[in-house]
Amino acid sequence: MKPSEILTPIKQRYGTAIQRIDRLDDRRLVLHVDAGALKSICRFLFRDLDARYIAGIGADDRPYSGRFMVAHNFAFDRDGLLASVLAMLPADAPEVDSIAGEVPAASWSEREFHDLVGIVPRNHPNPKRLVLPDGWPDRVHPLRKERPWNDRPDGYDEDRPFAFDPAPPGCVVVPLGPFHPTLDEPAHFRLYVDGEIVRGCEYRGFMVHRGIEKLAESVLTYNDIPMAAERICGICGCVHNVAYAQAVEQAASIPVPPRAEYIRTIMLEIERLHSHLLWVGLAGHILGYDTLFMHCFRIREPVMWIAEKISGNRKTYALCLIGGVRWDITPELHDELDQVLNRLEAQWRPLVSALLEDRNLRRRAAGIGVADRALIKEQGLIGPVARAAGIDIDCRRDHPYAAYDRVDFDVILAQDPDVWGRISVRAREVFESIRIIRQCLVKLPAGLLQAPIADELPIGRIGMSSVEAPRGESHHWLITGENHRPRRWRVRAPTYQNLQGIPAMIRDQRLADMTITLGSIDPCFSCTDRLETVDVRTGAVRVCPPEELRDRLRQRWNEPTTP
Amino acid sequence: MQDLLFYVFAAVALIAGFLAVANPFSRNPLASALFLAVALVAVSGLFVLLHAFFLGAVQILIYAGAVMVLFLFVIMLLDLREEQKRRARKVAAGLASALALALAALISAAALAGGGPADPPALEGGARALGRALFTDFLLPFEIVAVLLVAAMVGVVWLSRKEAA
Amino acid sequence: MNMEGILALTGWGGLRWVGPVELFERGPVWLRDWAVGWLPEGAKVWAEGLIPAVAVLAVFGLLFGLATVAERKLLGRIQNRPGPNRVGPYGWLQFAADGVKMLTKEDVVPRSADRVLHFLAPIVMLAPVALSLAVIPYGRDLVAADPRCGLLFFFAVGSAAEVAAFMAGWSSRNKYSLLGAMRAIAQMISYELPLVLSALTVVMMAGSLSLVEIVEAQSGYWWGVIPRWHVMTPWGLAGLLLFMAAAAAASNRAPFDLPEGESEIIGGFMTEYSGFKYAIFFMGEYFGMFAVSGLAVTLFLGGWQAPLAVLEAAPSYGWFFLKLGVMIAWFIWVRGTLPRLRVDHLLNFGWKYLLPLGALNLLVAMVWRGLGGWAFPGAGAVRWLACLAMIGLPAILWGRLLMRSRGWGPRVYRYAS
Repeated sequence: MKPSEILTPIKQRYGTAIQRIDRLDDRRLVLHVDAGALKSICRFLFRDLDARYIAGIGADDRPYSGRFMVAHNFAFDRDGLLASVLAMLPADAPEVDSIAGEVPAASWSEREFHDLVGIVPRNHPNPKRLVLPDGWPDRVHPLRKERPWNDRPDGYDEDRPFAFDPAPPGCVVVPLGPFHPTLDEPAHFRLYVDGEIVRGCEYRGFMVHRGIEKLAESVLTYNDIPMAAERICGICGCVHNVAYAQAVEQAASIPVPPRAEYIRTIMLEIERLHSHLLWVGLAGHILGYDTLFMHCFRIREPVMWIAEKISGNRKTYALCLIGGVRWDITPELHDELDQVLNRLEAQWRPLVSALLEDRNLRRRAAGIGVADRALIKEQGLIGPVARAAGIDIDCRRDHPYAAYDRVDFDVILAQDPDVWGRISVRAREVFESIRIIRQCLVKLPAGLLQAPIADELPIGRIGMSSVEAPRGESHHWLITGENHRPRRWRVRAPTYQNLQGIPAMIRDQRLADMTITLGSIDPCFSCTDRLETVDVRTGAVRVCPPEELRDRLRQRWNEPTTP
Repeated sequence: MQDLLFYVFAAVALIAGFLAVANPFSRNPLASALFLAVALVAVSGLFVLLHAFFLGAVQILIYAGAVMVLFLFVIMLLDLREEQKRRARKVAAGLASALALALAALISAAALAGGGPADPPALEGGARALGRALFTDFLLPFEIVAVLLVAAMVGVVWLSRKEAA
Repeated sequence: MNMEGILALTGWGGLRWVGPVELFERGPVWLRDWAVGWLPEGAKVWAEGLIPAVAVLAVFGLLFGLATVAERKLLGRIQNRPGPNRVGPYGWLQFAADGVKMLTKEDVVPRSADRVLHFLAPIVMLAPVALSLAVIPYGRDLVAADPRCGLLFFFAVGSAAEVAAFMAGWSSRNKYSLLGAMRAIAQMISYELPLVLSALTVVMMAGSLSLVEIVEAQSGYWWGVIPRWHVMTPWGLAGLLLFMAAAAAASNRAPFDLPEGESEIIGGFMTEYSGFKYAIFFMGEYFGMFAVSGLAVTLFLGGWQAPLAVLEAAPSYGWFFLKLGVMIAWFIWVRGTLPRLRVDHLLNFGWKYLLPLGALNLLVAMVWRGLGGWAFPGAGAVRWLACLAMIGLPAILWGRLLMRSRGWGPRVYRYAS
């Protein structure tokens, strides 16, 4: 389907409400609509045209247009289209109808722009704070342009506890996190438990304070941001690095040399390799099967070594700049990478066949953490979670980028919408990654690594980029701006969407299945929390002397606790 | 040594038993249950002193192990704060005291009347002797207990199924 | 305590020439008698009880240390890594370093914990397990205590572990501790039944509850080569497998280590324990594994009996500890091979699989005894195969039936958050 075929019914239905339609290129649309029609159009896209919801973005556009901006992004996966529905809001009353009632997947995005930009989603079904802590002063919205990046607002009550909903009757509250042996990053799940059965949960996350988006909009420049972007995530950093660079390149229409595109593909797949190997091991660990964990890590290690040889680092490859890449695959690296892949395949194949035929493991993992088609559609779940349920989506094929349109690979599917299906999908995707890298190594064209960029980048252009991270689609949306930096840059990591499905996935199953269900989406809280807020801690680095720490501990120790 | 052990076990059983029903330090039912366990273990020690190894072992296995755990579970299901607040009712307290007094009188009467304990049969816990006793002299009680247990088991299964459905 | 028999056997005083076989075989008993001989008359009766107790604790204390290292090394082998190899020769002193670490760690007691129960729980866990080691015969005449109902004593003191788990979980005032305790108790109670049932088969066939007599009932050889251990019979083989499966669960060993499944409920009832108290729990767990392995050796593997007549020259306790080592290795192997079960799977496995098979095994043992009268040529083989089929076929079929996956049903979602 061409963009026009999607636009026709929208135009017919909403004629005057649509102010303008920008075609960024063949595969990306921006619909400028009236704020009043936003909800109705989003519902039409989501329900009638069966689009997948990606993310909602709020932006403070007052210095440029005198208004606030809100955008909802949708994907038409079968047609390879990304669409952004954009509305401008008056500066004095930044309010917009909430679409979360119609599009449940938009719930978090709306809560987020409420917190950070101060755009109020009217009639939101769950209008609690998401990103900001409860002790944060009202009416202080960190992403508004008048707030400096190192703002320390007055009246921030750091010790104020979260206001949780009351527990359902007959349930005991079991806190999971922020510190728990299987949570590698802080997040809090307040589980409502009836015996061993979980009846529901409330999530409070966003505890990893960094404010990367704010930094990008106020301090860094275009070529600094890729390095900050890949620090969003410890595992899939390269994904954010590439996705950001692509969004800028698309906005500014910068052609990328083919060799750079192939190298990006190779690094992304190397990242997928080590991420999936890590995840299968961690799943084994969570299921109490450390032998699998150890073997996975042993098999994974050479991938890290080759990544270090290529980029100088096991992680954070610092791969992309705008318009190209920084590292080359030299002939020696070419051969060595080939050997690593051969060894990896030779070791992974027997392990996977043993793993997928293990009846004990299957019995343990089957039927838990079920996310069927309905849930996946409503909450916009993506990546291996969707593919395990047989939903055929993969950004590498649907919204091709880098060199993925020039290599041949299968999208791995399973028909078990449970933890077992996700194990199976991830374990088998490793082979596809190996296949992709091999093809790239064969096809790797000679040429430049970096496109020459002579002029300043254009201002006020919108860029959109979806990259298939190991966990699902990573989506970057930005507007180019003045001073060599974007006006607004929004990152939607895959875990951001997948986490929203967790409360439904864990309901009415056992506490023992909680951690593996959570693990099965391969959660990455750093990705999700990427922009929490500029907290007092990041504002100024303060060295806490050990004496003070001890005093604080004593103080805590002596004050009475409430049972 | 036997006498010394007897006094030790007897004292422990009495003190723990007292603390189980009337603990001056804590009104926590859990503490009572655990003191009851101590008392049961001490009584089992007395059985062993009487060479009733089988009885001693069964006492611990069933009472101190299984029944105690059941008690503890039941206590956990109750509302402890409510239990701690509750005062003993006067009628119940009076009735219990009267019963205890009557029991004490009965035992002391028996002790004063009888000329000391008769030699207990040496049922030391050998499988053969035990089996013979159970299946000849005590066959009827044995069968009745068996039927009772089966009935209880069926009842429990039925009750828990109803709840699950 | 039945010590008189052993005393009379060796006597005290007369020195006589003994061969190396006898020296090693009788050595421990002589050593004890020699030590007791120095004491005044009144202390002798106490010393005779104390010396074996100290010996058992010392031997198993050392074994505990070595077993922890062996477990980590063997797991390392299974997982393709070296395991501990720094402290002492080949890392075998790792346990000493761990012990020092444990002892010097801060002992943290939660503020709202019930301090008395919190303190007592590890002791209540360890002491009964150590007691249960008393009734296991380690060698010919080498048993600390041989009551007539030794087996019953073993299970009786073992049941105190449930109370200990409860005390630990309750006193910690931590929800994860309490969940762990509830799981532990449910598991221990459920698995005690198949454990006792498979042991009961042996009691029925040996006709005694005394562990010493059960070992003696397994002496001798069929056709002079096959030892008459219970494991060599179909019901004994099935009994051993059932017993070991139930034993792994009853002693909270992986893959049945849900009560402390760290990825789910942190440390279970041990969550709030640190330092030496934690070490005691750890020790109690290993002692439990030793005790139950020792019982398996005694009941099914002929205890201290040598596997061949010519090998009887080696000391009997050597054979016992060799078999014990094999059992411990089996536990470690299973831990490295299987993923952890979920709590409902675990209870289903105990109640729906092990328990019926245990009962069936009792029946098979009866048939085995009933068919003992056959005297035609080849009767032994027919009897063996018939009994094996009687227990083996149901085991396989029933297992298949239970393993049939039920799949996932339709779910109803609410989209609140």
